[in-house]
Amino acid sequence: MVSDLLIRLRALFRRDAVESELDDEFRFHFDQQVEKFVQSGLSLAEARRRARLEFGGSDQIKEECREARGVRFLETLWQDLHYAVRMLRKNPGFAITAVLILALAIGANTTFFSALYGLLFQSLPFVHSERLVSVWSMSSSSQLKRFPFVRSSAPDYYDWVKQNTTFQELGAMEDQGYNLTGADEPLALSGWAVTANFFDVLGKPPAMGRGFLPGEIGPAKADVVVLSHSLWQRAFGGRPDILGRSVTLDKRAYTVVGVAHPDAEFIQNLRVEFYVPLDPVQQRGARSLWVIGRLKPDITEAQALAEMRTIATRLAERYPDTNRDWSVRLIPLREFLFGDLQRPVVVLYVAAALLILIACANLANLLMARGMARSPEMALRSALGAGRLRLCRQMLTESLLLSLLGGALGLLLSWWGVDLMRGMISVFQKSSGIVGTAHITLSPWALAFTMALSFGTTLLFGLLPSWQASQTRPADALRAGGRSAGEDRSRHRLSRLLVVGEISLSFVLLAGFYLLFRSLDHLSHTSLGYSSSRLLTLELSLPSTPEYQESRSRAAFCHDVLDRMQAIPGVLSAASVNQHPLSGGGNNPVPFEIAGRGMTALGDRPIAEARTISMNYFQTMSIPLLEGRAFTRMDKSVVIVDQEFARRYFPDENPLGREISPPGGIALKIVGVVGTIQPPKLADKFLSAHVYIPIDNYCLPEITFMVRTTGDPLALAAAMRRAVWAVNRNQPISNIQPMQNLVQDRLSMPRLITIISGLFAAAALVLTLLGIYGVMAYAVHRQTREIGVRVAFGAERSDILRMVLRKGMAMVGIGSVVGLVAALILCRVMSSLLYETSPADPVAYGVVMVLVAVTGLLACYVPARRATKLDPMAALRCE
Amino acid sequence: MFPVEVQGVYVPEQRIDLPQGTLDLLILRTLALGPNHGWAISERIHQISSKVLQVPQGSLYPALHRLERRGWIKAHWGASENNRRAKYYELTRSGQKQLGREESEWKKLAVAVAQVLETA
Repeated sequence: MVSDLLIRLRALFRRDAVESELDDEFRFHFDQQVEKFVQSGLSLAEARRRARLEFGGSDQIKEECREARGVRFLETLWQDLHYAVRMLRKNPGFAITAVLILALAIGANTTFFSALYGLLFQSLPFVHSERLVSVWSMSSSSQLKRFPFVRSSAPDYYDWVKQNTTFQELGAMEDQGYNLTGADEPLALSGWAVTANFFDVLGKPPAMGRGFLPGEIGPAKADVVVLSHSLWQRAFGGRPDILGRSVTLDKRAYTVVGVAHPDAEFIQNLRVEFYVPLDPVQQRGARSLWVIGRLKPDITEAQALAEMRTIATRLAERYPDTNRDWSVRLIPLREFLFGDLQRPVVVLYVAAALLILIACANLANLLMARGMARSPEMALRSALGAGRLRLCRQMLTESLLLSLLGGALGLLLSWWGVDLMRGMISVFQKSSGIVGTAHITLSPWALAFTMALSFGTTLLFGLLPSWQASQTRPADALRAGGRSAGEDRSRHRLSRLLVVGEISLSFVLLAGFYLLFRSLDHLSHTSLGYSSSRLLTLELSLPSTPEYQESRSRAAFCHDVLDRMQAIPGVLSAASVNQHPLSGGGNNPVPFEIAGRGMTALGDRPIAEARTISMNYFQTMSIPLLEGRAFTRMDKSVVIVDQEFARRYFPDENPLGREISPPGGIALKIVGVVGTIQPPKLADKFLSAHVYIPIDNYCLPEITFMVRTTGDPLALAAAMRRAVWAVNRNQPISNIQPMQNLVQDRLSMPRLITIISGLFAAAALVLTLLGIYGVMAYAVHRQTREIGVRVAFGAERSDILRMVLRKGMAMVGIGSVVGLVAALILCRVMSSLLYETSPADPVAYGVVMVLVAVTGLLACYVPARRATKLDPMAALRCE
Repeated sequence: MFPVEVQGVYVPEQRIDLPQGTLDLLILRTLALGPNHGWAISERIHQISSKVLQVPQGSLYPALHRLERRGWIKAHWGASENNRRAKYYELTRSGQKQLGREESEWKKLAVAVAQVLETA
């Protein structure tokens, strides 16, 4: 056995030595035989001749010896590979095209499938993250039913905790903002106040120290804080002795009891830089808590939902004032975080899948054409004695080589593509405020699947011609012409079918791209309701210290800063507001009561976003004043509403002069109506109504300064900061950026999707062009004799041209029709991505049809011209 | 296959084709008498069988290589009687055993066939 192996190895690696040994052995035998004949009386020449005759074909004997050596398979494989490489080098165009097509198909598909898989299936980095659900309140009242996610109130939450049996843990969080002082520079932080079991819900205990004890939550809330991992690194240098130290938040001392795990940072749409114990307002109508829960191991989401709904109904009956029409909604955490992304990625994945189909069709045609071109060669080999298996193996090796090269390149592209996807997703997250990245990695399943698909195509269509070649008799194949008419026709039909398929798929891709493009166009030109150019925003949050306890002092702060800002050269006007139009703060609708309409339950009252603004806010923002007047310094107890508010709640009457009051507040008179502004998130199809309150009336601690400048807004950023610090040196500023950046960020996701789909559409068009050209060129070639006959019988050049073009355009026509139908069906899936564009937009389809027709014409042109230039004599002579 | 002229007389040589397994047996047996090179093996078989069995090169050498691979014979290069470079084969120990096995099988087969021919 060992000797067997040794001999085989020697035969493989010392081939030359083994071959020459065989030569020597034969030569010796031959010489001995000659001598024997000489000794038996023959002449030397005669002896030699006799011996040579006896020996027979030494090459054949050598061949058999080689077979006996048992390494034939490997040797022939090596030969095949060598030959395959040489063949590909001789036809670089074909090789490069095939490899590129394979690589593109594999790369695109793997990338998007990996992204989709990561978004849909990969777990968040928490223990059993599939059991994490976020719990929302939901109202069926007419005012609020358009808000899918409403926070919950503390009494509701505590009742849920007491009454449920389906959750292992239910935790609650509330937004909290503090100013950190005493570190290198004052920082404006945002974080959460949480319940004691928060870290248990996540299943990710703090990396250092501990979470909160039950005794620290609630009214007796202790002054303890858990820092987020990034804050610990950023503001405290990651010092290991952080536990037990004291930090100053809003001028109060808090003891650091823990540092959270870095993975705990990406849960919802806010930056979370610290955690403090929760002490919520105990009003059932004040809905300010986010609630997340961990389901018990055997409980399904449906069961939990059913129970929570029952509890909600019970609460609604017991507390009709606050809870009538309120119910509960559960959504898995992963879906809540990444749901917005799923639709675009699915669309892109479908596009990538279509592209891979087109690529495979093109590849198939390419391989078949090449196979047909080589069938004389195959026939020759067959005539020389190659078995069918050998022929097929030859072609197989070539196809395999192509596949491997394409696969390797495709792998590289996938790597790069997945990186790109990660970047794309973090762009999305930046614009919607999620911290951290989704875990997208190259999915081995996706890679395996796409490689199998492409390899399969290559092997199948590479093998097909050789299989058919091996079946025809060599004599037939070697005869001029090279193939039988029948199989040729069927192959041509297959090619045409493939190209028609390509055309229709390209149609779909082009239509999709066009729709996305139009949608993007609409988006970028849609009026925001205010002017965003040369506008600087500066966000800060006044701490809850005695200094700023009163609304009046906060308003005074604003006035002071604004006065300083107005004095800076280059500033056209400056104003303040609590939440600027594109801030990530989300919707916080406040219910108002309209005087003179009788008492209404809280759930039915008109709601609007409340904004506390300085006097010249509308002027600074270029929001048009439609009716009434702006605020003046003398105003007390007045409001200005926007057009949406007027339209919704005063449809048939003039709102001016009417009074409205916020919950627990005094009546405010409406003195003006201004234009409506666009909602911050593009996905929001509903406009919000706004009520604007002067800061002298009430000033919220969150303040954003909006500054309209003559030149580049960022140039004045430092001056703006100084203006703030001149009033209060310890006031941290959380954010300064030009409004234009935020507007652009909004568009970044749709723009990215449009660009990528554009790339796909362009690639598809190029592939289709090549495909049509290939088939038409071959068709003309096939019909050379027929064309010759026609011309000989008097057909004009234009007749020939028309004949060829008609054939080509027939394919294009059928492909377009099929594509149109397919596009109408498939583009409906995209409609959630489209802004003010209908998926059945006739202009879109018209444009695409023209584009495809032009492409077809272009592709047919060269073969058609070649057909008209055929010399009839040569055509008739050739076969 | 070719008539050989022996002192003016053409004697037709007939060749009987041997089944492959039998050839292996003959080669092994020949080598049991001592190591030898390919030509000599073929000559010896020819002589000992009273010139009935002629092993053509096309069968001999593949068989030799096959046997070598199976480990029943091993080869080395050496000088022949007339000082030419030749590849000598000799029987290995496992070759000896294989020879014994094949011999007894052949004998059994021969007896069985003879019996059938006599009675049938």
